[in-house]
Amino acid sequence: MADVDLEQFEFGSAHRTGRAKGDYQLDRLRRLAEFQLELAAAQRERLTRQERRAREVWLAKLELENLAQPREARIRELESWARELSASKDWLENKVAELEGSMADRRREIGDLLEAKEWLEGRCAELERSVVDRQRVADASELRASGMRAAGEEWKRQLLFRLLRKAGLLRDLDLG
Amino acid sequence: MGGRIVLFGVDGLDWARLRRNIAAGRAPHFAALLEHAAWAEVPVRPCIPGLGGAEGGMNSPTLWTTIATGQYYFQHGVYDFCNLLDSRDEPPLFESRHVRSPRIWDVLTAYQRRSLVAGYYVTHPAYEIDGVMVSDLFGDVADPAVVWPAARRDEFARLCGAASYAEYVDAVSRLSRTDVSAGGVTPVTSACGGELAREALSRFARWSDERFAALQSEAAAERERRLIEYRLVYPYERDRRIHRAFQRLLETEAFDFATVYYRLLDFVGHGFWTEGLSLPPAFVSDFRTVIDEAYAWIDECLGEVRATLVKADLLVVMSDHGFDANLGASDWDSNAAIYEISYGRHAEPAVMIVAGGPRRGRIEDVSLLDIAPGVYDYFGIELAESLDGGPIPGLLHEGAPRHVPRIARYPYQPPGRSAQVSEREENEVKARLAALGYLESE
Repeated sequence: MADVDLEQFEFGSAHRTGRAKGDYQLDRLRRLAEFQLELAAAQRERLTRQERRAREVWLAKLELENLAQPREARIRELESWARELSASKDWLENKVAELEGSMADRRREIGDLLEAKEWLEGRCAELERSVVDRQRVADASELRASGMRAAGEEWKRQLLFRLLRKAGLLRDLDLG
Repeated sequence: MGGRIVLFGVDGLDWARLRRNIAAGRAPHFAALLEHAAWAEVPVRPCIPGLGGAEGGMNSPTLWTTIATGQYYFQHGVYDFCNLLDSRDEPPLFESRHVRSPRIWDVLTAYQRRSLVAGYYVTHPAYEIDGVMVSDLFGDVADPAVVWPAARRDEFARLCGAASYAEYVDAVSRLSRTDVSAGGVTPVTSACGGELAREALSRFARWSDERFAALQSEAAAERERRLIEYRLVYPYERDRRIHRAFQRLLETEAFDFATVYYRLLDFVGHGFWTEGLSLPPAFVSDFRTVIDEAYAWIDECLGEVRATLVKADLLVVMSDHGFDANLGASDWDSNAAIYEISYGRHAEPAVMIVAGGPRRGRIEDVSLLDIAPGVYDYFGIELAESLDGGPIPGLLHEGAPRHVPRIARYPYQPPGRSAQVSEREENEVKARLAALGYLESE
């Protein structure tokens, strides 16, 4: 309520007939007081309700805090587990990364080996073909050689016969 | 008496600012009015003895109801924006059913006089009178009781370009949505991206298109957009729709008494008062013309209303309070929320100008309590003992007030219908009031 000296205040406008009458002034003062009391009672009731609600909220807060404490401890415990799990997860992820790196190396090695094997297989095949070819050549050479030896023997026999015939040692034999 | 009375209510109309705008040529209709009118600088605080709260008790629902009833707040029951006497837990905005005393149009209805009421404070829901009532929440709420008679609701919406009231209120609601969250109000400032915002900023702040475009793009301008939406775009759009409805009524309806209420000056006074304060130069540069341009716009509205009147009519221009710099305002650069910053504050005196009556020039000893009794006296209605004001001699008619037997009180039964306002709608209205510092943001 604004400060006003109600003892000095004169109700009614300057043009209000009967303003100066005591009945009118008293009536308005009474009405003002009644209204202010009505308003004050309403404000008091509102404050009381607000205080009651605030108290309820405060008690609820305390109750929730009591309920919350073991839950908070549990939450902290879980948070600690979570941190450990997170650390384990990080370690595992690092390990996995290492293994993946190692696997990649192994794959590269295997790849190299496979390449080498293929090369060797190719070389073996080449060598086999070379051996076969050489064998063939050798066989052919052997055959030629045997033919040449046979031809050589025949030539030597013919030469011997010619020499013997020339020497008159042999009659013309049927050399058949 | 042959003439009609039109009460042109402008919230926050201030004498010093008005005179300056008249001298600058921005208010030609006010100037013309004052040449042949009676006028008064009306004290406000004597009408609210013992009332505290926002603005030292000089809150608009109280003062406008005092003007309309001729009684103190402790008689008519409206003492603030929200009614704690209705609910301790969720005080609702004051509604028409909360007004304990008859207002001018209620008394005139009882005496077979016809009234037109447009946008006057605490008239929602609109209720039956001899005449037409457009409630102060017209366009803000989907509640169909925004016009009496209800059949005319869509007619006023069509004046605003909508096919029906439902379509209109939907369009207005999409202009801006406010989320009242814990710790404050958080508006979705979609209003500042549209053509209405561009029009308002061009008209009142004289912004260029480039400046407007910068408002849309700067992330740091969110507070600025909120300020503009709350304190310029919304009240401008609101006053436009009420003015259009009132003009339609004046042009088409027979009446004895008509009243309209504008709130633009009050809103821009809170948001854009720059005189006497140390504010950032950019803020002053951006907004220094808003209030004076708002005075010019109100002057145009006054001119349009005057144009519908005839010589025998009386035009009463009233405000509920004036304005002054709020020296306790937070610095704009602080992190204070919009609702914590109000650069203008309510001040005395209020404005009263009466044109068409016998008196001219300055009148002393005028009270907000004297308007309603003056209207009753003008129409030959006996004055009630329940009134706290009295007719001012010679203001509305020649001679002294009539000597008619007084009655104890006027017959009156407050309307029984409650407002059907959704929680979102009520929160939006309260958010705007909170943004003006009228309500505590919860």
